[in-house]
Amino acid sequence: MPPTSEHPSGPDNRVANEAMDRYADGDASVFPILYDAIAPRIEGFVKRRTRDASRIDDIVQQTFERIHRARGTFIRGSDVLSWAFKIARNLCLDLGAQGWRERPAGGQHGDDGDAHADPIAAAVAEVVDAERIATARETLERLVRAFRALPEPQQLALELVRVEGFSMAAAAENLGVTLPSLKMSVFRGAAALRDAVLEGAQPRGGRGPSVAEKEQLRGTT
Amino acid sequence: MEPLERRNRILASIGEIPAPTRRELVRRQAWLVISGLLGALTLFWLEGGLRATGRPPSLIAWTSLGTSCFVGVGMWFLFTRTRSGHRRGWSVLGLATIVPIAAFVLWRYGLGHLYELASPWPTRPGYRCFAMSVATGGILLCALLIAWRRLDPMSPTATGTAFGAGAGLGSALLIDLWCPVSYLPHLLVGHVLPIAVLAVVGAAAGRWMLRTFGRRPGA
Repeated sequence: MPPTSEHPSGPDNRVANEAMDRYADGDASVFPILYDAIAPRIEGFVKRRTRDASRIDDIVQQTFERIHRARGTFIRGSDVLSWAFKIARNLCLDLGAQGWRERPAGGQHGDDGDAHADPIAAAVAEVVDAERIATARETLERLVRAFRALPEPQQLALELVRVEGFSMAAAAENLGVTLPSLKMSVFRGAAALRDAVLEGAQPRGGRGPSVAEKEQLRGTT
Repeated sequence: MEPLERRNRILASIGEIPAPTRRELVRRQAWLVISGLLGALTLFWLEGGLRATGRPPSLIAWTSLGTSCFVGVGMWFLFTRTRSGHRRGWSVLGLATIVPIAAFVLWRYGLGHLYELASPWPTRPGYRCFAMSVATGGILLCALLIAWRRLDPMSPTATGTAFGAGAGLGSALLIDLWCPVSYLPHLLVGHVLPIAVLAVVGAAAGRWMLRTFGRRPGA
């Protein structure tokens, strides 16, 4: 019975899985399709673990080379993206990319330079109330700090489920943990992030979130 | 590096690395696994094959039937992968090894007790069964490791452990036909310990043999 992939059901994933199936059967012409479908997501996954451009290149290349070498073991109908993330994660560990923690945790503006270098963000900042911008920036920094402070299993669980769109079951298989354990990691991680946002949600001189607003926020996380 | 430049470099690099297709691999793995099974069976028959040694045929039939069921379920969990194509998690691998072993020991000891054949047997501490189990299971494990050599980019240690434990369970099935002793310490030393040893050896060898490498930088 062929396995069924029950997660990331987006068109890119279907294309990638079909391409990988054909590639495993020996059709080399589909490798560029496979590459185009999953390379950006692998790169994004690796970029969240290291900022070293040469290391990112190396890990992405090695990931594809390992997928290529092991293509014959790809089970028809299984999920190539889940494969790729696991391989990339192993490579990150082997090559010393330490996850989000690799980035300095101090929240210095110079380290979060992407947002500041963005010309659209700069233009918006000029016309929008500066205090709201500052509050949003503080909230974001708190969120990032809280995420970096999470244990790695919780970071990975949140990343796969909330960022990459894996189902709970697929993420559990990817991480090699039981489904209840993964659910607990996602729940605890989300709760920690929510608390980090709520704790700092008292604006300077303004009113804090009402009980109803907090409940609503809790309900959405 | 620009994305397009990297894309071109990876596409070029992939073309230079030999990789078996699914069909080639299945054929190669089938040959190797069948060879391993035949090797283990040959050793088993050279050492005497099925030996009744005072056991009634019904006892042999019942113990073998039960052991086959337990071992079959355990091996299915150990050798198959999840829907996403990953090796099962450590907790599942552990359960898939421990539960069949416990069931096998209880079944064998219980039936031996029922047939009044579970009394102490001081002259058979289990070393011969241990050696036979490790030898037959070792042949199977070698075949599996060679069949999967350099083909697991995700969890080579877990795969090696699963192969070792699976080979150990497979050998337990053969040794069950070979050995008449149902004395508990003998079962633990001669039938259970080899499975643990093979699982550990499989883990170490798997980490070393099954890992998939890309090209070395600068190669």
